[in-house]
Amino acid sequence: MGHGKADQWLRLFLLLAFCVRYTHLLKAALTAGQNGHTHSSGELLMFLILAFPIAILFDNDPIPVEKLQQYPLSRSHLALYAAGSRLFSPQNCLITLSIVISLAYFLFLPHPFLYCLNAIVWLSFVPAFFAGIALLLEFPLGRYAVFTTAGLSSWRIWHAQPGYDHLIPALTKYIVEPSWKATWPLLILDIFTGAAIIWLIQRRTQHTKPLVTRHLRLIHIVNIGGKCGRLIQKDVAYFLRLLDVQTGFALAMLLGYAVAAAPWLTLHKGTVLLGIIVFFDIALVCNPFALDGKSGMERYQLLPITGKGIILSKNISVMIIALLQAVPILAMGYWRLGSFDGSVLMLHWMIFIVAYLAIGNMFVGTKTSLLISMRFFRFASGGDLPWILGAVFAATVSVIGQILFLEHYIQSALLTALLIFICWCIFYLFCLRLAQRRLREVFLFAFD
Amino acid sequence: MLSSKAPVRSSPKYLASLQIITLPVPGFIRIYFDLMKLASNFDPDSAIQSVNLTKQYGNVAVVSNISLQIPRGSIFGFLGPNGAGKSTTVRMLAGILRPTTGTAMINGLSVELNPIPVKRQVGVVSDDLALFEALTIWEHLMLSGAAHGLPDTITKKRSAELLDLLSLDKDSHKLISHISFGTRKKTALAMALLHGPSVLFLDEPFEGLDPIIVRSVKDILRQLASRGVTVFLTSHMLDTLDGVIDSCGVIKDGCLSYSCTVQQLRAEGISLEEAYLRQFPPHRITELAWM
Repeated sequence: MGHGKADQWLRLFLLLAFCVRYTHLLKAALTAGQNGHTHSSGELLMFLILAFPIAILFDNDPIPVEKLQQYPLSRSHLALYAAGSRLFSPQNCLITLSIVISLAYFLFLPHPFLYCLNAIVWLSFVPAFFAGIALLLEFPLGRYAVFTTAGLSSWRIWHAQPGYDHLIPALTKYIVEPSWKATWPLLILDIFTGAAIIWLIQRRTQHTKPLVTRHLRLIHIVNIGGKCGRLIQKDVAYFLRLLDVQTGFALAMLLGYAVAAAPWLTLHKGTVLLGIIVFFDIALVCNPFALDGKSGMERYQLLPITGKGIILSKNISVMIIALLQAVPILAMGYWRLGSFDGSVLMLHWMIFIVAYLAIGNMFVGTKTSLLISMRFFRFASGGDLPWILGAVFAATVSVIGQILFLEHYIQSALLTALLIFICWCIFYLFCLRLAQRRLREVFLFAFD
Repeated sequence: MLSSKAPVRSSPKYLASLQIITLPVPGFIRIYFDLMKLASNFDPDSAIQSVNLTKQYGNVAVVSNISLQIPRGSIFGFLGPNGAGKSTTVRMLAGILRPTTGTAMINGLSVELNPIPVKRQVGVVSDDLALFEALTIWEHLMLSGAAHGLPDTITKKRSAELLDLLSLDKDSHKLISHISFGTRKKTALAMALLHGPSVLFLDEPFEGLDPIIVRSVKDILRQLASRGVTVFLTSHMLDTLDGVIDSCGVIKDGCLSYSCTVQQLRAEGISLEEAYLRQFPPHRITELAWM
């Protein structure tokens, strides 16, 4: 993915903002944890969920191993290049590290050095986390790793009452009483993660099977006639074949059930469910032309179809896939929360998806290049920085609406109606027109 | 240029038929004047016409002032070395790329002002084949048929015939990403032919095809031309073009440097290859002693 200079600066700014907020929340959670309170940890958790898509900002384009194989490089060199190219750029890494350490110094007074040490230990999780993302993106094995993690998390969420209460105090114990003894397990974990990466990449260099091997007949579910019908069918087939939508569906069902059935989670259950939907649909709609590639884009130009038809069919197919991933969670909401809260959840999902479509269309309309490769695990997709920011914004609007609705019904209902109105106005009056104009000017699409 | 007939058609009635009455942006004014120029040389017997077709990227002109008139039912070979501007010209004529200046018409319709009617009339095999990586050959044909407004039954019937003709039937349910370059080329060709276009643009149609399919494609092209279909093709394979094309043009550094009909070549007693090489003297081969 090519990034301009302005993009890099924005990326750095976001990274700083993330670090500052994360450090503040971590400090609050640790302090509260010492006193036996866990509410701050919930805030920290919510922040991490909402900020998760930002992780994509640091995922570089991988060096294609197949192309490197034509050069006289050893297997270990190949593995190193492939792993390294996935991780974020070294200069960003160094800047982040130095800023977080210096911030930690002031924030964690009166024991700055003590906390600095722990900040480094915590930060060591960051590359491990991105390496994990890299693995999930790169290897078919990643899907099963995601399933295992999600399964364990679901079990943890379900039976979390005792663990949740003691989680932060237990972590606090390790962090506040730092000793080399306390940091050993984390360092060992990092070493093992690194070793696993090298091992898996070596496996990858031995087995270069193409990722797209499935012939799904699910395309026939959406059997609509006509020009736009065929386009929608084509896009649904694409999403099903190139992204792990099915995995997303299964995971959404698993996590949705775990949250909905968790006996200890009572207050913000709907919000957490919405958070899971946001997680699975986060960037699906943000760049609707990404999967087509340059060649596919040219085919659109050759077919006698209007740009309006193409944009609308893209929007519809994206909604179908987004709905497919959200259905198990929405159903879970109706089942466990009742019809009223379930409807509220549904309403907010609608706000969220309309806002996403508006943002996707807006960026189709403003970006010079429409073709940014989509990635973000393989059960969803991803886009460039503005797409991700837009997605996070839309998710935030939706989650805030959900939280407000729980506490102030009348005002929030009005706010929700207003939000829907604004989103639809943006969608029709601005984004769609912008996208159409862009397609007409750059790709010579007609708009009859 | 290639056609001797050139009746003047610059009447207001003709211009009105080009649907240039509503021109909302200033860019269209340029098209208007280009069309005026084109209309003054309009030939109703020409399927493809262009006037001063130019494409510039910054200060670099990739294609300069290409003017063509290609009669209906003929096969035109557009020749030139790599990077000469062949594909860019094809893309401008087919409506994929907006020219910087100049204009093009297909069957009397402006490519820029009537893109949808033009696309209904043309079939294109572009240089990158324009295929969706994760669709099967059959799905491509069904999509193309629907996009051109063909009923499903007709699309299926024609698709089956084309798959058989181009030996694609055994691969028809494979994804594009899983098939060879030659098979992709045949898929693009089948898509270009499916809706029965009156004008075909083929960018390097013979590249990557086996000799049997090359022969089939040549036969198809001759048959189509005899039925009034106009074919505009580019190729490096001069020997393959022998016996296929009716006329040719040679593009050199973005400019049309030479054009002639096959009859003219025969009258001069030279082959297509000789005519081409006159434009591009062969490089002196060095010894490469280090190899």
